[in-house]
Amino acid sequence: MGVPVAHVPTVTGERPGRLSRMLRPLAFMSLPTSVLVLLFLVPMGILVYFSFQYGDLTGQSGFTLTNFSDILSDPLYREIAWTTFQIATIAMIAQLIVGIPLAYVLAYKAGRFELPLLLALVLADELNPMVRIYAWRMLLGREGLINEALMSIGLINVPIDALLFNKFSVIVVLSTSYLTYTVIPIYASMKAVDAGLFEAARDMGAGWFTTFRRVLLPLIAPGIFIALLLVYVPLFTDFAAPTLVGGTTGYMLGNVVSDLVLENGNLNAGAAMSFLMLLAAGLFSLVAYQLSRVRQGAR
Amino acid sequence: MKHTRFNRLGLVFTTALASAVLVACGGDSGTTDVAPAPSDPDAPATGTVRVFAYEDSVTPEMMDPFQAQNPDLEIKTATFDSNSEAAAKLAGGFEADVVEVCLDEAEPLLRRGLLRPLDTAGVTDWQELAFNDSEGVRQDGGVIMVPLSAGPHGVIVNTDEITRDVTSYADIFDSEFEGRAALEGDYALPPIAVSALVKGIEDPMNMDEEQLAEVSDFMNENRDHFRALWRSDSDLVNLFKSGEVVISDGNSGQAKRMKEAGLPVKWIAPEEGTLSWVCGFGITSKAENLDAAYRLINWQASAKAQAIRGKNGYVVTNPAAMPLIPEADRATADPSALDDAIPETYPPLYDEWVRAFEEFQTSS
Repeated sequence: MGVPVAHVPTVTGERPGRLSRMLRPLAFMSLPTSVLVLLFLVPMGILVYFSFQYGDLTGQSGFTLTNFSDILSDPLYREIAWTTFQIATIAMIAQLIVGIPLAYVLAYKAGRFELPLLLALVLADELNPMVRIYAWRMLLGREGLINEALMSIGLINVPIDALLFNKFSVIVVLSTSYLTYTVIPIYASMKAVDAGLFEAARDMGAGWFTTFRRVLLPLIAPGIFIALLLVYVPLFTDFAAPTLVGGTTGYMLGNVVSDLVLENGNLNAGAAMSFLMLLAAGLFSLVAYQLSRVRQGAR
Repeated sequence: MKHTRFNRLGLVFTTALASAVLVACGGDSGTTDVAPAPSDPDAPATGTVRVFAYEDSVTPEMMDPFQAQNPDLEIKTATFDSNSEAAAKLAGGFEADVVEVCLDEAEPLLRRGLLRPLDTAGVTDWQELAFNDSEGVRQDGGVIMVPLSAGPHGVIVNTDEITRDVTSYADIFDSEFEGRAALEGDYALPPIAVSALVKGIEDPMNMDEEQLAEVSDFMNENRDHFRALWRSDSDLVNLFKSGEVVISDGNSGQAKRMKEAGLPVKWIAPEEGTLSWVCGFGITSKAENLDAAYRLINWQASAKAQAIRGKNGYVVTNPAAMPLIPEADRATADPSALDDAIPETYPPLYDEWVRAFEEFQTSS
């Protein structure tokens, strides 16, 4: 009895040529790539081009670095950048403090309410930003719901003015404006984590904080990284919240760009400011990416 | 606050990119020669006219009668939030025949050669129009806009909360109202001009650098005095309605609308002199349908159209509209109310004004 011969699949059709196999993915990619180039990279390129130009759109123009040197050497812009950094960072931390437990509840504790809660979170983001900000004004205002409630239970005799029209209210509004984008990537990364790992950690004597720090946090680091990209960077460019609830102290970099372009009509300086913010965002993303890799490697 | 200003969310990005993309496509820069008046200004216009203006100048209430007069004319409207924005878009290639020009903001349009002088022979009521000789209406001898609306910028107080006499812009800065006062803050001119008048500077629009520095210091010292900076009509109404502020600068038209909404407010012409703005329509350097442009301007300057503006709380520029305006609105609409006003014009040091306003909003 002879040794059975291994079955060799027969080729019924003509195999595509090597060149064709190489070109096929490119063909699939061509449309989305074209859209990306047209709608993203071209405007970005024009933005960068204008940031290195001087003069009016229709007047004389030419290459210059003055837009950048003016911004970087201006103490006022440094102060505004510092204010923006403080507000955005505190708002981001606040969102992580709220967002990580919320994602945890959604991923592991919500049970049959998981999907409805997730939908509610997404729907909350659909609310018009202006309406949301004005809703906050009704909550935080002198005659707002919070002050009224505190006064009605006798905790305060006069309304607390510090709740609205300052940096605090900007942080509160920003912290809630992007919560959906903070929670969902973290939730998605949590869903990929085997809950049995927590049990194993407990069996080995780890408390909840150690489990969180040594097991969960490293595993959801990529989700946190995505959340930072989606939320922290846009926080720097927001100008609706500081405009509407910032009073006389919430001026941020987004407002600077707005005023440079719309009030001063200085598109070049506005483009330079935007380009610098873009560079800072890129640098931040790189650092965040490296940190998320370190966290993953540390587990 | 001249007109309703929309929320600016997204505006910067779209303005910048639209300008950038459109300028890349480029085109001719038009002409700054005088736009010839139509041979028959009363003949219905045909073709297409493109109007670029503040939103409340091109509402259906304002434009439908004009459309009825010119049934074969296609009217395209677009709105902006400031003349700077309009200038950026027009320079970037956005096309319009008629653009709204405000005297305190016109400089970016002029600097970029985007306006074409008008032949006043083509404006039927030109001689009767108020403010036709205001500073800025003529540039290098040519008329750049036809005044169509105006407004005094004084003080608005909550009469339930403030029972004492308020007579001055300085009252807004009174320590009695600390944390309960507001200033207009949608652009640099109003808060700085008001502060300058409080500091005793009689010609705020033409402040020199030293005076501006003095005003800037004064504003920064008083930063915490203000509860908020209002950015639109509705914002101001909301601040009064919610009890956040009891005193602010503002227009008589705004106060009128607030009173109509049941708010206990009063408008006061301040003793330092009342700041006032004037806006109107001009013809762009790339205008294609000049006949329709003149026809539209004549409609907007007519007694009927002016009566609509008067009813909406603005000062009219055509006195012939006064009999058509409801009795209750006439005092607000009367152009003679601005006889002794201080006209808001584009300050020569406007970039420095913007910077001073940025400093004011930046806490140290």
